Amino acid sequence: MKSVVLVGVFCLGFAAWSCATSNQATHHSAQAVKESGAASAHASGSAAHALVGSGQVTSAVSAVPMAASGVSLTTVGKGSKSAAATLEKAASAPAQELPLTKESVITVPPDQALDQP
Amino acid sequence: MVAKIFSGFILAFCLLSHSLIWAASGSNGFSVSSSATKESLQYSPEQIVRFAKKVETVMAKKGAYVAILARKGRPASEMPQGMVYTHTAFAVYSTITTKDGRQLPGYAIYNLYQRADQPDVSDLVTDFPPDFFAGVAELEAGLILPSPKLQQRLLATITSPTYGALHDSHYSVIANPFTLGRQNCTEFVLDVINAAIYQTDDITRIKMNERDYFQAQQVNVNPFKLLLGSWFTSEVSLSDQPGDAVTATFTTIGEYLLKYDKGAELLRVLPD
Repeated sequence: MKSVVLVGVFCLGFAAWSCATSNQATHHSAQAVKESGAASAHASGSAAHALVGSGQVTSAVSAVPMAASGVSLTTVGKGSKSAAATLEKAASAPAQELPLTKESVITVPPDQALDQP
Repeated sequence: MVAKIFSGFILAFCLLSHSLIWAASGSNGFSVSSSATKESLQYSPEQIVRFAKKVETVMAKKGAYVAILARKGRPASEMPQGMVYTHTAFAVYSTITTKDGRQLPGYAIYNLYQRADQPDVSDLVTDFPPDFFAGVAELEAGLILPSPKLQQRLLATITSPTYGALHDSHYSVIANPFTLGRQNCTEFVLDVINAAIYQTDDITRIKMNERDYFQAQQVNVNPFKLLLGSWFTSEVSLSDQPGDAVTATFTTIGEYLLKYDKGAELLRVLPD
């Protein structure tokens, strides 16, 4: 009986230690989130909402993949034969720097999307 | 008799607490969309926006139409041995239409994300670089630039019905890339890459080629913890792991492409 109690006490102790040590990392990261969040003006919302609130991003409603030579490819299987030919041709051309907007674009948050007509 | 049952119960509780801790702390923050979580930013919006634009600029300067992009959703100290990045997706050069109707050239990110409220289910979601990097634990990106030939094939696959058809919504954070039934973001990326390489939508053929040529990452977590984790955490599944647990990672995908895709490049992007 005594040995059973000892085993029980040991297991409880081990369980408590397990929780304490392995929660340490979680606690540290939670603390890091909390601390960095304090520096953010929009820490209470989701990460995406904080970005929207920063005023540094533009919301996008759609994106269409672009092939070399500027051909826009409609998604889900609507690429034409000419687009496919363009793709093959472009594959052999040397890579050139692509024009890029200076704006930063993010997805429209759900609440704003619902506000749109 | 009662004492034996009691000690057995305590022992089970002890082991369970240990395994659940791995499951909870080890898997959270992998393929979850930043817009779906309630986490606050670990970096300021300015830092995230600047870093996301830097990654875009690196890709644009390299003339990349399609790249494979990875982020660090958890600190390195919390990652299992051999795993560096937590989420991998395709970055696709696109014409982006803004809410006010303007058209801008930039990159859209094609992701497989777990659902925040159903972690064993995933969706295909397109977002943008600041969305992708919002909520990361470390500002660092892994970047694979496939050869121009593979980029064009990837573009053809991503814009075809094959892209959606390759998605299996049954999510496991440690999905085995050689089997069917469970999929995570990296297995999906690998499947799309091989669909593009072999110009096929035949998943049986894709899996056969992956078994022959792709070197997966061993999941370096105690098998007993893994087993208990799979019992009590829906996003950890061993149902597609016939032997030792293996999974695809950004690093192993990079090694695969550096070996077989002549002209592919592997980069690491850090903040200024």
